[in-house]
Amino acid sequence: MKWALRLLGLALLIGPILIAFGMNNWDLKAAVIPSEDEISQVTGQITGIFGDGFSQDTFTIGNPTVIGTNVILPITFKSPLSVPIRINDISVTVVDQGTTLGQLNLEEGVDVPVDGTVSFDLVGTYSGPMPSDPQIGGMNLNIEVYGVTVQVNMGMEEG
Amino acid sequence: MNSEMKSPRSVNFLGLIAGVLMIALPFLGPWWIAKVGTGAIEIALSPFDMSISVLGQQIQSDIVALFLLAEAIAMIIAGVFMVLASVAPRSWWSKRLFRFGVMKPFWAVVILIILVVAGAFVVNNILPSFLSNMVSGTGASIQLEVPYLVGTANSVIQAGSQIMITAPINLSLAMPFWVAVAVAVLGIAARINHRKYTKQTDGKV
Repeated sequence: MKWALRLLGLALLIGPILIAFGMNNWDLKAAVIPSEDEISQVTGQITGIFGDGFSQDTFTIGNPTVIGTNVILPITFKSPLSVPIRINDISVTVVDQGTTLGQLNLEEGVDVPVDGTVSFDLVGTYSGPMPSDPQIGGMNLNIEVYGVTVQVNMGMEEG
Repeated sequence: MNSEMKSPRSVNFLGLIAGVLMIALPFLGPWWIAKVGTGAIEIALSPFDMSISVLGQQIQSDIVALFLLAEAIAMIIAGVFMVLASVAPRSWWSKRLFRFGVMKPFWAVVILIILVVAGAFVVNNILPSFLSNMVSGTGASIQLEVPYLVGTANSVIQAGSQIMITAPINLSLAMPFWVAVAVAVLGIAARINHRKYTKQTDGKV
């Protein structure tokens, strides 16, 4: 009985190793690591998230509205991503002939469906003289994908 | 035969309860769960099953899956042996069947903790430098911070000054782990309790 129990313990230890190797034509690599099919599905899923990536069509910036000291800049975001995301924050820096005028920010987060298009306003205040050639000098984007936060700081030459 | 019938029927109740719970253990679900973000990466681990999901896509290793299946079968067999040994603790085979599985839950708990802590050590101390070497020259830096068994932390991947990715990591022990700890304690208590039957048996022999 003692030996039978020891053999049972040994069989339960060695058995799965032999079966796994046998299932994979005695290929050590195939038995130990996940199949190439599974790995390519995962990498496909990851690259698929970013689709064609961000381009000039991703953001469409409308004409700003000024009411008193409040500045409202309408933005249309066309998601290139194949997963739903949440835009936590967008802030743009407005410059005029090399001088920073101020920042416009998203007031509250926006949910964007897969390949969806959403419109929202960036708001800020400005009380100086009327700028002659206002441009967007830079943009900070904070998005959430699968609970992972991605923060992108983009410098822009032209608004 | 007559003397057996006259003697009061004895049962090692601690062993009986531990045995029944050992049979149930493989069916209770994961003991330890790791989550990165909300569904970015999910790992559910027990000595009987391991599930790794990346963006909802399952990946698994044949050898690990079969090894864990064998562990589940071994735990069930050990549980059945514990039940048999506990209901007939004075039989000649009781001691052997009892010893086959009594410490299995204890070692399962200990090995799981060692594996998780070792995995966290590798991710915290070895993986960042390995990954940083892979992306050297791109201006990227990788700071991985993983709790050692339970807790929450943030891992940060910085690509130059333009992109920063922050991944919240949450590690937790699930209820089946605590059931396993209880079974391990019960098993040790049952083992001590079982000695009184085997001593009596040895004394008769």
